[in-house]
Amino acid sequence: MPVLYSNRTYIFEMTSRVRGERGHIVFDFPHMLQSLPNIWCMIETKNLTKVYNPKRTPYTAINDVSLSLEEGKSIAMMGKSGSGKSTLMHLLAGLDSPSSGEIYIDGANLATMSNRELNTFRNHSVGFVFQAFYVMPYDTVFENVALPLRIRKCSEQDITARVTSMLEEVGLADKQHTDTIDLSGGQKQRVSIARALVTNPKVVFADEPTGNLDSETGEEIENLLFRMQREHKATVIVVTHDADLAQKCDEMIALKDGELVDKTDL
Amino acid sequence: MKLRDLIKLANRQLFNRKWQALLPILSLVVGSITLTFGLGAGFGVQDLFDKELAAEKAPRLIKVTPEPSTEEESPQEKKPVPVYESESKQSKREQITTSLQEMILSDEQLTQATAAPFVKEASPLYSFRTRYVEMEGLEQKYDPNTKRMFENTEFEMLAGQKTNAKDDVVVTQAFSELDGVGAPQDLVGKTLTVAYPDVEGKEQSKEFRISGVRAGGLRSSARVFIPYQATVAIAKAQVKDTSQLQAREAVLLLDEGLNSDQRERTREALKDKGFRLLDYAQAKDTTNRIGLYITLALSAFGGVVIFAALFGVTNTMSMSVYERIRQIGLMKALGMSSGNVFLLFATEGAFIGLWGAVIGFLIAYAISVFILNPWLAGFFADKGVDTPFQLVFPPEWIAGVILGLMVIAFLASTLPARRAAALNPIDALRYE
Repeated sequence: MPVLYSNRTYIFEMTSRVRGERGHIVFDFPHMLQSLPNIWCMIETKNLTKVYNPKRTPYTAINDVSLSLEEGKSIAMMGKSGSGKSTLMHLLAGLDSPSSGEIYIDGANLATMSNRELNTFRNHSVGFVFQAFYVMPYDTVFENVALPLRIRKCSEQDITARVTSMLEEVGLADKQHTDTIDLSGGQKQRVSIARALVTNPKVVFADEPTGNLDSETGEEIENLLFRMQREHKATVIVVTHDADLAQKCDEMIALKDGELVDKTDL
Repeated sequence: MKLRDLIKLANRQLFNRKWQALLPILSLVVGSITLTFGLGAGFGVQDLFDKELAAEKAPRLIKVTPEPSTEEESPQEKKPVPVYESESKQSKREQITTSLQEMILSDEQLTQATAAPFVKEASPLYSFRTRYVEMEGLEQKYDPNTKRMFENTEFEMLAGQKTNAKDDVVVTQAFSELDGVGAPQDLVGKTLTVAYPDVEGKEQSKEFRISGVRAGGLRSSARVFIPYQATVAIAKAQVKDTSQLQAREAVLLLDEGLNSDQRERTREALKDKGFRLLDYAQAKDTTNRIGLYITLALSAFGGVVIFAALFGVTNTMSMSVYERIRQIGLMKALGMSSGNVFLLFATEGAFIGLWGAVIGFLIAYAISVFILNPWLAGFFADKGVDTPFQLVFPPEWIAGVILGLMVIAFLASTLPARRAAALNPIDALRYE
């Protein structure tokens, strides 16, 4: 029974059966609510910390980062090299596990997932676009885009339908039977954008997506990426050095020495 | 990932790296060729044994010979001039005569053999001599081997049949190749006269009817099979009285429908009584075993080559993993499980095994069918052998070899595949 009620905090008084002493259990609801994931946020972290080599030469790559990012927005993640932005991206994408703290993506806690669950999570909810494209050079455009669907064990019909429509969206419909090694850099990045979005992920991580492209092609790719983000209502996190690219995003977060800072501090 | 997609992807991966994979495939091809030839030759020998045994089947007969009591000298030992020791002892020459005497079946031994379990009757093989045979319609006299023929022997016939009539004989294929004889069936029904000397050296003869022509088997020499009773009659005509009939061997007829345990009992009983045995069932066992040994021995060469080739498979797959580290990172980032990554690379290795085995087999098979077997057939035909030695490829063994090579290539790839499966996606993606 509640014996005290103040400031929305319930205190239960009870007797310990073992020691015969009186004690209190405190239900601190506001605090408890805070520790639950915010259902309006797509990505939320709480006191996220990542320490490499914790035993020998500990190096804190991410230090107590708490952030919440809204659904369907494009977010630029900026910072110098060594600032921890890649580490944060790997943690958010479920590629790495935090030393402490919590990560919620669309309400699911990554920190408590098994490897198998993480594989499924990445396959269903995350898309990647890399600076170096990472396409399979000797496979066709179609097979490259189909890869995540094949990993998901989709039916052949489903794969054909989704890949074909995705290739139309990125403007590679006529190249689907071409080996990716024969494509230009911009076309390869289109393939990886198609591959990232073909699974209808909730979050797409773009790691320096224009870093390997000339400025003109880079701009084309940026435009494609933002158009796809709007059309597919995905949350896109762009990891970049490029201030111009960061300007085009809806929001920006800045990292310095593993901690969130104001963008003016960069 | 679906298994079908995984296999397709593994095959595409191998195809994309076909030049790197060519070397281990080639070494497996060499192994597969050696193995195929080994198996082909081994099964060829077994096939030949089978054909030879099929030419004359006698599952119910056991041939027995008395075991000589004197110990045989080992041929390796140096033999000094034998010293004549004393009057009381037998000389070496006398000993040999004695042992020859001992090799003759006594009536007592014959009774003992008949008394063994499941033995129905014993037919002593009395020695008989023939001079020549004459065939109806042919001028020439011939001197073929004359053999005894038992009722319970089955022949593989080219024409006519083996009857158990007392005046019917069977001849081998060689007779049908004589000038003036057309096909084997032309011989059937002809009269064959067997001439033999009697006890005083005077020529006697007996007329028989050719009831059939037997297939040659391995030893395609000219032979005439005369019914056992007729040979006994000839033998009797060549001695003064029947007490002088001599046989070194006897053929025992066993009861019908014996199982292998009962057979073994008979064999043991006969051995205990000091007989040496020769029987069809055992001969078949022995030849099968020899054939298998030959097959295994020849295959062992292929095995050695394949063993060496497997290191090539492991090496190539290690290179494959090394070259694809970023691709592995990508696949893992996209949610591929470590198990699937392992399977993908091990399957790629299995494909190396598959191609090596299939190409090797096809090459060896083509060489055998189009070059080697026709040449062997011609070679043996020139030597007058009707059943040439041919390489034989039982499909189930070939399928087994191909499957086996796939499995061991898969196993040879497990080490690199495990390394691929253990890669951390972040490190793999960062790998330059």
